[in-house]
Amino acid sequence: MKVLPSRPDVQAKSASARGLATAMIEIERVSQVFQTSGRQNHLALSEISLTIEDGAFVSILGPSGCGKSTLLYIVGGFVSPTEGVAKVRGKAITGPGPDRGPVFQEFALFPWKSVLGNVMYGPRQQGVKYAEAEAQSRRLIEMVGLRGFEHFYPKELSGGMKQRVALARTLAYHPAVLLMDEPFGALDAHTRTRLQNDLLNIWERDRKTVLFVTHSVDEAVFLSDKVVVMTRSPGRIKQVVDIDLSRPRRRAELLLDPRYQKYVVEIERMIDDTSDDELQP
Amino acid sequence: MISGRALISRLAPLLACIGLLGVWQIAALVLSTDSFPTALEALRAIPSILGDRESLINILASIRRMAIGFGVAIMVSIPLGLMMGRSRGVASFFNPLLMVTYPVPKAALMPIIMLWLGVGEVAKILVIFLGVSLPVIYHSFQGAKAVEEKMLWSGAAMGLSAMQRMIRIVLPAALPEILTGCRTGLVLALITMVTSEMIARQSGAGNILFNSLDMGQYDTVYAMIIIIGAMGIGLDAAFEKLRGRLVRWSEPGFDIPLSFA
Amino acid sequence: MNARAVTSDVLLGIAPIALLIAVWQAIASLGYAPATLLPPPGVVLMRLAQQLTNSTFQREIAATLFRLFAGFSVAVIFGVTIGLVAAASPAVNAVVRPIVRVLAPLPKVALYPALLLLLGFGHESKITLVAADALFPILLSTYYGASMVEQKLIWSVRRAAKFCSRWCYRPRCLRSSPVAASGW
Repeated sequence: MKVLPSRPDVQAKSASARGLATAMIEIERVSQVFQTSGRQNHLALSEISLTIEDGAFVSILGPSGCGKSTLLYIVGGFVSPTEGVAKVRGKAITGPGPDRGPVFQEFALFPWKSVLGNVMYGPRQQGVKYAEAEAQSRRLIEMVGLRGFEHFYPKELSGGMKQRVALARTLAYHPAVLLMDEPFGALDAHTRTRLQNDLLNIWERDRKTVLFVTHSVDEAVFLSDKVVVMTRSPGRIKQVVDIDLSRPRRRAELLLDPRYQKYVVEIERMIDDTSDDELQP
Repeated sequence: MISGRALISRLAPLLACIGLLGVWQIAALVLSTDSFPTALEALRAIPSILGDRESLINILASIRRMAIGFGVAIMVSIPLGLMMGRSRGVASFFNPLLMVTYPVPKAALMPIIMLWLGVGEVAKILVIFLGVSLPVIYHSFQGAKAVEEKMLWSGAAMGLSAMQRMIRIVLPAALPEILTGCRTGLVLALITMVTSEMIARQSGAGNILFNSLDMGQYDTVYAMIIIIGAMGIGLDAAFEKLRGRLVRWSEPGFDIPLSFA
Repeated sequence: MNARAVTSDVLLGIAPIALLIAVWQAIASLGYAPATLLPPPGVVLMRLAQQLTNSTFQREIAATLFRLFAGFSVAVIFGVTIGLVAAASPAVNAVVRPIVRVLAPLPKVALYPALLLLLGFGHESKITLVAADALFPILLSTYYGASMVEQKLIWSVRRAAKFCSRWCYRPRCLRSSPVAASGW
């Protein structure tokens, strides 16, 4: 696991701004049609085109039912788009893989395995030897703040703890991209803010590409470099907002920062706006 | 140091047995008919049954048939149920058959099976197999269906193939439900064992039971009831212990209880 | 659009059964099994129709149905009552629990000879057997259904009601009925 020293006084610049052209994820004119139980066609996503650079923390924000999770699942390879293509590192996505690691709102831990067993699952699947996988996993478990809980079972853990395990489990197999589907949605407010902080601390270390789905505006602004605002169903991209706030971000400072507040107000207004005429060109 | 209360609750089933036998004893003495021996008389007959070589062979044959019927049934039913749970095509194909045949008491098929296969081992094992299969298929189906899709997606992202996901994720995740089905299957194995031996005599514990009825050996009849009852209780208790150990990690479910946990 | 969806589902559901009957017919007509052992479906159906009009057959079926419903009713009455009382009263619970644990795994069909000896060869022994078999699942489901009824609900109803007994059992019964029904 690469550990980069954090540099608090440097603004987070996207890779392309630094002169390195690395489009990690390319979504080209993706549309998704679902068949509902009444055999009717429901257009969930309409002509989504988006490029996400390597190392960027991008949030997908929108009201319920706008298809943001669907978009994430398409990038994850769990769902095939009806039209259009999604690529990662230039290659079209044909299915799930260890290069794109998911973290779900429902945690989706393996209940028959302990915390350690869950985290070791990915590395073991990749052929890592037991002793090394165990050592690696223990380090990760400590990093997410669960030292001492290695032999607990999911049913004995609280929601926040389960999500930490889920995060550790996904990080364990070193995906290039983290796909997070409203991961803190099922948690209480206090746990949520703690995990947001912890996530940023962990992310700062090796700056993976993160695609983060949420319906919370302040969460999106707090965490991301870019916020992709989506319209109501059928989901289209309304606007992509660059969040120009320096890292590392501390909640206490940010909440009082007028620029942060301005972003939140601006984006909330965008979502409230019922007219869907402002489409991204 | 176990408290008095805890001790009583641990011994409660034993006390219940003694209580029931007590009630039996009193009722038999009150009714005082030939055809209703007292509990003590029945209990006294047990060692002679177990000591008799022929009877012992019969009883062991019953147990063997149950084991084979049960074993083959779960080997076939669990994979079938799991596949039904994860594939809509397989489910649509087998589900109607399942729904139609489930309520049919498999023992009612005995006459036809006896016509085709005679009164020997195979016929009885087949009935036991049929009796055990259906609940195991049904519960494996339900268990597999209920496995969270996101869990499977997590596995797929880690690089597990479809077959690996079935064996390493669906199977363990569905195990609590599967074992509930197996427990029902065990109960049915016992019932079909006795019924098959009632209809097609020739060998087995049920055979001894109904033969002694025909021959007027009433002590033996009641003794066999106790023996078969003990088999049922013993097997169920052993299975519950095994089940508890295998699925220690699971949340308690709200399925139809077969007995007090 | 919806009606078409429903009919296609129904057709898909009938298909395997229809297939089974077709295979049955095929085996019978191709002579893979002697006609005495495996009559073709048509013959079986005709015989069934014939039997249904036969008065002896009707009497026998009626007898079985009578025993079935009588036994089931007895099981419901005893099972629901004992289940509710056991859920309500810890004392009763303490007595009922171990008895059920001992008797539930016993295959009730093994009791049949005893029932024949005690009650004769008529309806009584068979009704008792049916009742004994059906009793335990009903009892257990009622018990678990009733114990799931939230305590707070019961307490608040108790406080609000003047006639405690009448009010106490209604929410319990109503709430526990879905789980109790599943035991049937």
